[in-house]
Amino acid sequence: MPEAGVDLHRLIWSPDDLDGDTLTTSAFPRDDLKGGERYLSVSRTDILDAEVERQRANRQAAAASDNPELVRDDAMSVVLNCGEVCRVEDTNGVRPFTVTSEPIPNDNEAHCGIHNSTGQAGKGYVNQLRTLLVRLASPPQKLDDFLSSIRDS
Amino acid sequence: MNEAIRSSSVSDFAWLTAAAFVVGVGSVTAPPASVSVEQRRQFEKAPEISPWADVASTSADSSVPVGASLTYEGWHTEVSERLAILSEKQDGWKGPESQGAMPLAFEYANRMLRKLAVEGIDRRPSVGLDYEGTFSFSWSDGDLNIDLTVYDDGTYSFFATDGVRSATADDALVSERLSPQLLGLLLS
Repeated sequence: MPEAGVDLHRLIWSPDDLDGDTLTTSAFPRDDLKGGERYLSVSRTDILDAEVERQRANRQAAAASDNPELVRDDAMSVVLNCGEVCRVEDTNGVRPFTVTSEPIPNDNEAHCGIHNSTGQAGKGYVNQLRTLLVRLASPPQKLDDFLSSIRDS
Repeated sequence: MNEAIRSSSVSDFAWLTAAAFVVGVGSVTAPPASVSVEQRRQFEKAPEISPWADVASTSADSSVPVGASLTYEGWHTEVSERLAILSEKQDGWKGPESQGAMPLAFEYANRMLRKLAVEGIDRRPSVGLDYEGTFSFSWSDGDLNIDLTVYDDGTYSFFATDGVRSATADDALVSERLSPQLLGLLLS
């Protein structure tokens, strides 16, 4: 598990996950928050290589080139702090999330997963998890701007 | 769930009263309590054909008054337009496994919007299309945090909190009055 101080980058492919400037809960797929084998994919920024991430995004966009909805230049980024994600509590005082390293060899060594580790998968509970994530997420910014900031730091 | 044969209830009565008020049928001395003065004004100047006329005229959903009209102002118009844009999304719109907008979920999302308008909700929701093809309405304003999902089977789920109170539901019916707990949080 990444250290508490590590930031986690969430790639948002569609600008339609923003309503105006506001991140919508739709940016966090319900199925990824039901627990079990599913998790929300993020990348830890402390070992994230901006150029690798950019190439990965380009490859994904190319693979979806038959889909006019997926425009590489429109991709957005939000950041969540690992410690905050792990410490946040639901209404029962339970910490619902765990973060695990899920490296993808030769692709994304920084890949991590945010898991719903409560065993609760009710629809309303998933709604609660999405409100927590939206609250913890940084203001959205363009993916290229985010990657530039990573490279510069 | 068979909404068509659902028996009358207090909520039906409120809606039917609202419908009668809108179309000028029957002897109605006052709109239901949930209809504000501003909404009463909107009803009075509503055009004969509303953006929801098709939905209302074909609906077995008793929460949508048949023939009723409601004009939208402010954020309602913005959200209505955004829902229409999102409804055009096809399978794969944000990844290989993502689903396009479910037509019935879109219809029920429109009904949810109508419900919010009639209940006099001033807070504009952020609206999104989920990876699974369902629609989301969310509010994040200080301590108020709400996520509401509208499904294609006429149900919605939600979680709402203002930091002190909270409410949640898994399978609420779009065809019924808005959850009183949710309404209380939205109006607070």
